[in-house]
This record gives sequence, C-alpha cells and structure tokens, in this order.
Amino acid sequence: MDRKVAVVGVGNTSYTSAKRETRERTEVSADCIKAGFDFVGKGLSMDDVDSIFYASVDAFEGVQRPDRSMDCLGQSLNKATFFVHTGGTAGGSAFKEAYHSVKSGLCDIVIALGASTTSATVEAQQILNSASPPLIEKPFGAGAIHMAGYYLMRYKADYNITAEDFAMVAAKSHKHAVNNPYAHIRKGFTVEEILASPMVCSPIHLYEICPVSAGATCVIMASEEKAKELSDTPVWIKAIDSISNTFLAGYRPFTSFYKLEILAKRVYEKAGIKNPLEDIDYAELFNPFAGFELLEYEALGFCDKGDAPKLVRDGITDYGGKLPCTLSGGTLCTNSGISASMSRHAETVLQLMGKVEGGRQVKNAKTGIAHSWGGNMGQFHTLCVLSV
Amino acid sequence: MQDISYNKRFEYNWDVPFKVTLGESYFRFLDGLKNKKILGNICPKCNGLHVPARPFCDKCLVEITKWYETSGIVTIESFSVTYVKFLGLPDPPHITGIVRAENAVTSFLHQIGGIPYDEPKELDEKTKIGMKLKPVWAEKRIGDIQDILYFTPVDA
Repeated sequence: MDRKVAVVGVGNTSYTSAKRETRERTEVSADCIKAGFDFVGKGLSMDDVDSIFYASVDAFEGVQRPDRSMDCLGQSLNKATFFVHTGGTAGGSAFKEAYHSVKSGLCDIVIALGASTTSATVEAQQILNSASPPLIEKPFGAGAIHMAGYYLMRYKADYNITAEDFAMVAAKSHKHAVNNPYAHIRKGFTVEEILASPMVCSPIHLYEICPVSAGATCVIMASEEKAKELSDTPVWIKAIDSISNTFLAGYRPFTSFYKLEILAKRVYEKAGIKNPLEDIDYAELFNPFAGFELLEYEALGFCDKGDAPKLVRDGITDYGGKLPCTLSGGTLCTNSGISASMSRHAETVLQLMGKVEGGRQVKNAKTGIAHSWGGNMGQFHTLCVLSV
Repeated sequence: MQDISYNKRFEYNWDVPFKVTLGESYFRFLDGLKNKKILGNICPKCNGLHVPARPFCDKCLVEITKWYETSGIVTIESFSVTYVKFLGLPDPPHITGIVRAENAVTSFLHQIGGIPYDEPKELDEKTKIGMKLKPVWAEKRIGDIQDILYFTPVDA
C-alpha cells in the first residue's frame, strides 16, 4: 500500500545535566508533548492522537515499563500507548513503529516520544553493564565506553587514524552545539582542549564522550491527508529500517560498523539513493563517542574505509560542506538516554523543514538521514531517510 | 545561577538476585574452565569453531554438538585501557579486550594483564592488536568465566 507518512511536528524540552534536573520525570515528557503540539499549532491536541510510542530503557529509569507511569501519554483519554525498548536505538525504533502504524492505515496521527531516560540514574555505566551477557561478558564491567574503545582502537590501528583525527570530529560537534539552544554541553571545546582532556578509556578522551543529560524529544507523524492539513512543511519518511547483531561479541570483526553498511544498502535501495554523498543533503549520526561519526561516514558510504578523517579535514561534513553532518552537536553534546536516539530524527526533520535555530540551518536541504546505535557491543542500528 | 533548591531526590535501589540456567553447552564450557581448559564447539554446517562454546550456531541456527579443546592461546582483536576509576571495576589502569581463540569464528571479552609499565599511558603502546596471549588461572576455580583471571602475553 502506498500510503505516505510525514513528520509534521517536533517537540523538545530544555536539556540539562541529569544530576541538575529539577523536573519530575513525567513533567519532562508532558512538556515535550506540549512543545510538539505547539509546534504544529492548528489546535492539535491529545484528542486528535491515535497512538503514542514511548521509547526508554527500564533499568535507567528504575522502574519496569516506565511508559505506564506517564499519564501525559493520554492514558486517561483511552489512548493506545506502546513501550518501545531496543536499548540505545529505542528512539529510532519508536520512530519506526510509529511510522508503521500510520503507513499501515491503522492510525492517522501518532506521537513518538524519546524519554528523558537517565535522570534517575546514579551511575550510568553500572546500568550499561547490566545489559551485558551475564555469563561471559558482564563480570568484566564493560560499559558503552569500553565497547566504543574496542571499535575505535581497532579503527585507529587498521587505518593509522590519529588522536587529532578523533579530536577534530569531536570539535566539530562541540563547535555547533554552542549554537544549539537544545544542546546540553555548549562549551565549544577546541581540538587542543580535547587532546588535553584526560584519556578515559583509550583511545577516547573525556571531551570525546557524551554527558549524562536530561530532557526529552518527540515527533508527531501524520498520514498524507492529515499532514497536508496540519503542516506547510511536512517531511516525508522515504525509507526506514533497523538491523540486529548477536548478544555476545561473537562474530563482530570490530573493524567497522559492518552491520550499518548492510543496513545502509537496504535503506538506500528503498529510498533510491545511489550516491550518498551526492544524494543526501544532511545527516544526523549517533555519536555518543566522537570517533563513531568517522566509522559511520564509512559504513554509510560517504567515503572509502579509512578516509573519513579527510571528510572532516576538508570540511565536507561541516556547515557549508557538501554533506553537513550532526550540526546539532549530536549525542556527543546531549545524551539524555533514549531521547538522544530520537533527536537525530527530530534534528533532521527540522533541517528539512528549514526551522533550525542558532544559525545552523543548511540551505536547500531536501533529503536527510537519521541514524541510531545501541545494544550490547553495538548490537543494533536504525536508519531513516527523510525528504521534503 | 539556577535555583536547584528543589532538586530533591528520593533514593531507592534494586537488589534482586537472579539465577540463570546454563544449559549443556555453557555448563560444559564453564566446567572446562575449572580444569584449566578453554573449550569450543564446532558447527556441523559451517564448520565454524565457536569459543566460548555455544548451544547453537548463531549464523546457521543449528545445534552445535562437536566439542573441541583449544590450546588456550588467544589473539587480541582489539582492546581499551581504562585510565579512570569506574564503580565496581578494578583500579586503573586496567585493560579489557576482545580476544579470539585459534581460528574461532567468534571472539570474546576478557581482561588483559601482566604487561609491565612505568607510566600507565605506556600500556596503549605495549598492548598490541594481534598479540598472542595465554590464560592466567585462578587458584580456586568454580566454573566461572573469571576462573581465567586475565590473559597475558605468551612470552611473559
């Protein structure tokens, strides 16, 4: 069935440190949904919404099925609510499930909400470790940062990637986060400052690591008919898919984000993208550890293996370049858990709508992509192609 | 300055024990560790050696029944040196890595140790991808992945 689905609204709350968060957790989501309705305007309210897809990770929130506790999801209004949990990619997955519900014809207007997941978390790495395979991997205490270290150390060795290469892509995010009112870390760290920051887990410096943030993101999707009523700037979902890997480190070569390569081929084919560097105008990539962005350029076909640092050095992926990437500052500068994996989609939508604040608006962006990464040892990726 | 006087927290924790069923493959693998043996098993369809042993081949989705005792020597696929203290982890610096036994089709996570250094940062240079390592066994072994304390260079 050829039913088109558009994003018509984006909602963001302010973002802060999880430790400094003063809002109660349901307040954050309520504010976020309200921001989404305000964005659309036209009197849109929860009464008009068919379903809500809530993305989070139980263990971070300290409660099972945290969606149940969110009365702002229209529970008193008899709405259908769904909890989507695929770890770090849950935002991307909720976006996908929301899309399916409209695409199938079962719903006309839906919300996908990326929760402020980590504000109750005392020690994030402890929770991340609890997601590791208990018999074989958990005892060694690996959190997301260690997993990132294995990928980036191997990448460094295989292609002679330098510390400066990693710092440069980190500095790109920090530079743009300064101009993003919805970014948490807005310090504008330079390459020199990043290289001088402490090494946490080699080869990753402190300023190449995301913070633990608080804040939420949502998107409002609609069928073609409703989208045209609700928005002058609908952004259409052209293709979306996700991919999985084994729970154990298992078959992973750690030499690339090879699952993302497979996923990209699959999604590009559906969207008619033949030459990513030419056909894509904007990309929001999941970069909780700055070096990931380089691996993602290569997996997404922006360049050959080992050439990603050159794209950064040549400004190809910076503002004004051929394919600007992650001008929000990315997950590197704001990571409120699951919200961060939906922010990628929200930011791309805003870029395509021409509604990005802070002087980061890319001119004439017509096609964009949004990516998320998560799960044990990078078990899952999601990828979405959006266009005007 | 933001007023955070109402940033009050209610503290609670989960302290919930779990017991995971091992099944035959993991039981035999972990039991092997008690006897200082690192066991793998071989998929009857793709002939892939799986270490640690698996109940079934994740690629062919068939049961794996043929057992294989590895030499215990592993190769570093990748690693990361942790330089800061994390809750529940050993004092820094400590090294975790992804290692591969012989020509296994799978690799696994473990600790790497016994590499001498003067300054912690030297560990990044002295630990090398492709390095061969041997297991250092716990004196008292209970059938747990930590019966191997860590892997250390074969010439150490």
